[in-house]
Amino acid sequence: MRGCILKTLLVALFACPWSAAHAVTLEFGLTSQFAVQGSTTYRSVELPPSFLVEPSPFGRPVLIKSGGPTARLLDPNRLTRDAADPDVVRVDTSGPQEDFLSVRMDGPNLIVERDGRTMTLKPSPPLLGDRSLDELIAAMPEYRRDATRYTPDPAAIEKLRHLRQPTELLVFYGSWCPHCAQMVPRLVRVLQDVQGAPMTVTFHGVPHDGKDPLADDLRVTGLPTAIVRRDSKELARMKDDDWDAPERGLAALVTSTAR
Amino acid sequence: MSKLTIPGAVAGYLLGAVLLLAAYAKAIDPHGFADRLQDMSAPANLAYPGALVVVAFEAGLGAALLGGARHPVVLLASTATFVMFVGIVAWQLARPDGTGVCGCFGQLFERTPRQALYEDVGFVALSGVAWLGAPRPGVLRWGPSLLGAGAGLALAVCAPSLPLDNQATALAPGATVEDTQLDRIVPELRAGRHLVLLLDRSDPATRTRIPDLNERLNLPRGAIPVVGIADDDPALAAAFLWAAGPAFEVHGAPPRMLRRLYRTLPRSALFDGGRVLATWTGFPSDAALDTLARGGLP
Repeated sequence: MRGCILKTLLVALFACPWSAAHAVTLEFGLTSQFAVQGSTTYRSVELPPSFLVEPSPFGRPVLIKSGGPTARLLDPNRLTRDAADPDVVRVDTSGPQEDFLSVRMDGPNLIVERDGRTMTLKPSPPLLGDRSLDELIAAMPEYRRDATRYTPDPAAIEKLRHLRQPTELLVFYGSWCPHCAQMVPRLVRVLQDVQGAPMTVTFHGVPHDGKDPLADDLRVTGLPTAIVRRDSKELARMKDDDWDAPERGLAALVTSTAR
Repeated sequence: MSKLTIPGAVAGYLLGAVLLLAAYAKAIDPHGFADRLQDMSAPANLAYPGALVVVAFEAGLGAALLGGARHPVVLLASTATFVMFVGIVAWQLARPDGTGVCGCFGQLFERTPRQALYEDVGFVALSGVAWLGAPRPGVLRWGPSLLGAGAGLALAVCAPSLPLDNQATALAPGATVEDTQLDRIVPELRAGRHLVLLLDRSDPATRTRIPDLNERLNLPRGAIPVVGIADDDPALAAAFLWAAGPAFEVHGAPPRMLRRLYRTLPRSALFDGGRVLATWTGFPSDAALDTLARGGLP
């Protein structure tokens, strides 16, 4: 009988959710969605979204969970950086949930406080104006990460690699625009795959209210829109369904307009 | 009786039917029509009363024509109305942002401005035919007009509380994802089964309900993938994310595109294989959510 009770206790101990064998690890990627001055912000891959801010004004990393929301200080030993990707951090969230901070919302901002110290997470302002491909992916880490997940059509990529005439691509997008967040990383991947082709690319960020003199001048009516130009003359536009597989749309436009 | 009386009378009846149909389409979603009036630069505080006036006017004029009234006042009003429609559509065509659809028939018949222009020019011609063989001015009978205007107004006032969402919007059982245009926002809806939630991110009740939906549907790893769609305002998106903590992606959509899909928010729809299977005003019932959570069809 005593053996049976002991066995049951041991099984319960190993099966309980807070045992080390069941450590809960959350994966976070660098994000541009929210910014904290002087800190780096990461968003969880898992939903509902959680955010990790480090360093923080509280001296330790802060884990913020949406839907409530709640914030707590983390032991830095709980953080593990991905060896292959410096933008990825894993956090061990198992064990006692302590060191909670007070949290309040102020419109779109989240304010975290303790002992007179304050940290404010603000939605990042939209990217405006012209940027190169490298500048774009430095400012939008989500674009860079999502680009790695897209597999372009090899035949279309091959066609683009054989492009001979210098071609300019002017891409209108909104860093705030969810549709652009889906489509622009695909183009980023295509452009990364055809590096060396004589193609100059400029990404032009448009504000949320759409008031942008260049977009107005060129009569851009939807985002994203890519304008294909040669010798500064517009040859074609990539929009709507062309973005489902931008390499095909681009290859078709470049081929059909080849001199 | 003149030989011209018959074509004139037939044209009058046809125009009456067209006006009644247009009034009905507007009356079942008066707030949607008011939003379209605002798109056409109507002041915000006058848009809803203006929508009611337009519904009453069209219904009254349509009822008069369908009741056989071919009094010069009625014919003049109908000709002027269709000439005004042509003017509005021509103005829409000339706008640089090129409005995608014309709202004269609400969601019952969506027309591009170009199609609307051709049709409305046809209606102007028909209103010209309606003058043929018209009797001399006599006493104008107001009965049918008042009855039509009253009925139109009553429908417009009551419609928001009537179960007419599927008629009044482009999100109805049988519609394809292309009809709803949601494939432009979420291409994944073209295949597989998805529960789509149209949300008002500023609504406190919606924010409060999200954690319950997360739990009931075992999100984010539940049997049914859930897609939220809402106005693409970045400030609202951030506030909603903090407060509600949705365990599903909420995609932003241009308000004008979203407005075709609801009369009130929230509204829900089940998509299967790129087609709408079912819709709900508000969120699905608890029983429907439980069935969806088990991978079944409500």
